[in-house]
Amino acid sequence: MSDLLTIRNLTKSFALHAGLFSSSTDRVYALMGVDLTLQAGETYGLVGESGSGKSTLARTLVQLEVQDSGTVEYHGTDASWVVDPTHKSRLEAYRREVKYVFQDPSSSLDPRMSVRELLTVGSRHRTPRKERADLENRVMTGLEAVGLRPTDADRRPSEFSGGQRQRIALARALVTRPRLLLCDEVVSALDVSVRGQILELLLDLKRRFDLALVFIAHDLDVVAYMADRVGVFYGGLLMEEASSTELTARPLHPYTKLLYESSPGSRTLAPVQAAAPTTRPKGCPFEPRCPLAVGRCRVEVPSLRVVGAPEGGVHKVACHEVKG
Amino acid sequence: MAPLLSVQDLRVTFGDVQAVRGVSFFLNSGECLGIVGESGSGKSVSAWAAAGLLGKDAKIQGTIVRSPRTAMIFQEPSRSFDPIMNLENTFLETFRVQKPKTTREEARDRAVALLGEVHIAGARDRLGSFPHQFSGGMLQRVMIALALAGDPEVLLCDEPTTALDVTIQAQILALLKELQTKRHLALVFISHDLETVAQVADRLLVLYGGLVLEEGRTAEVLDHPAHPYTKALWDSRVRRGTHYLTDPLILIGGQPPDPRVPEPGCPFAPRCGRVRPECRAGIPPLESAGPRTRRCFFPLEAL
Repeated sequence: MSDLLTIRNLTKSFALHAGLFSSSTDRVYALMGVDLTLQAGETYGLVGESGSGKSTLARTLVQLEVQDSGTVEYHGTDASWVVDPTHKSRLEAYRREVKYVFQDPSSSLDPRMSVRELLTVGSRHRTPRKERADLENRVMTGLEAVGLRPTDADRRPSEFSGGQRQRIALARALVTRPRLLLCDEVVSALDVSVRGQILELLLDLKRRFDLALVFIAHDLDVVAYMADRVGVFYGGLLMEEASSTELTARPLHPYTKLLYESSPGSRTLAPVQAAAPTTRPKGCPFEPRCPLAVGRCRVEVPSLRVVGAPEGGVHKVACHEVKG
Repeated sequence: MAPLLSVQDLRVTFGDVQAVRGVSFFLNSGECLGIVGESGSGKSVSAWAAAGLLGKDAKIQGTIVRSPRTAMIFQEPSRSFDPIMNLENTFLETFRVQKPKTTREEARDRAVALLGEVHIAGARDRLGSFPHQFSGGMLQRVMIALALAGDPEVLLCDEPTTALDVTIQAQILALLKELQTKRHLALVFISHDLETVAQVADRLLVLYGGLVLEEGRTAEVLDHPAHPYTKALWDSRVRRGTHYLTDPLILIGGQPPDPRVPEPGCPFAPRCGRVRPECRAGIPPLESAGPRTRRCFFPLEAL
């Protein structure tokens, strides 16, 4: 498999009290230096709690947020380039191939537009008149691919249920024939019985269009099911990365273990807040909650290191105490 | 002993929306009843009706008998607090509803005791804090502490962990179980997530389309579901250790019912794998044997 995206040392922080007259220098550190490589056609699962930075990462990948430092390099079919928000034409081309699908379809679909308008509004102005028929074809292919009827193109989002709206959101992403879909909590707002249908649809689209997916969710079991490789996020850092099967069989990082135990298992925990840090932490972000923490964890950020290379890829952990 | 909460043949409509179409349940002292259902199943409306919280736009029929010592907690703790009142004033207001002459000092002491009971460390120093200074999990603890202010024997929990992270969710569930034991508190725990409900509930009520489809002890219902919907819901969860390359998803096809146009028959009939013509013609009766109840013409398990 070839590389699709190479992310190097990505950082992003936000001012906690924005505004012209704000004197506060408090910042929320959402990404603390993320290194990640995505391969063409693979599903990369990102798991983490709210405030862990997983959505910020996805939003930065399509430049909905611009990083403070670090680079995202895109390996296109003919050339590679570093994603640069000032290079408009390249950014546009990049955004056609890398698509972001939002969590809540009811707030990301304009209620006044028909489904056809929603699907084409982004591409229409740049599609020459003689290619309009092709655009309509792509709309129909998109609708068909997500299991909607051609007649649905003339209806409005309010006429659809939550699961159907998520299908519309996916059809909209497919119209530009992308290579990568960033699926940010796309099933979190759905009912259990509908969630399975959307997961199945994503797997189907992945096979049909040879898509790579970044699948973001807070439910570790769902992420592990959907993904080829999984990255566990905490405090803006990757804590652990391994193939999905390896991670389920052998979780190493204490935070990953905690996530597994928290689902339906033992629950004996100190009540600690899990919010993103507002002062730049010196050490490991998980240190205040970590059962293994030692003095070193407070002062030194652990780097993501390879602890094993079982079948299906390398297993990486960012922890001072875990032995490989 | 009479149940602390009993709901008989509850029907709730909002205009042409038939949210609840005949739901009955009871809650005994010290037990935890789980109510599970998807959006539109009528689970929250049933609980709000049971707590007497529904507004004038709701038309309510049926009999509700509840203990005067009933409290309730809600899904989104951040939206349940007045953002411009600090904790001390929030508690003071709550105490004064129960006992108008409560002094500030009394309120402070009682608030600290209650916050300690929900494991908020350094409670006295946090009384001056405002809701936005707490995380969602902490606020949910504060809301539980407020609910405990009236010394309830029944606590209605409407999706109390849905908006929370998994690790925090586990802490809140542990706290509720602890209070159930320590205070002998009876809980109604409502959730759309069968796995979460299964962790805490002694008994389970499965709602769909405004009707009870199945009821029974949690382990029995999950090990031997009688209704195809219960089985489909339990089977469709993503199990630990499964992977898309080796294990197909078990799906429930179709769409959840529209409460404005309820099915003439079983509400699950359009999505049911075992559906027969009878199912579409009329609503199956609710049949009971001991603690076990189900509403199905062709159940998976005999009673």
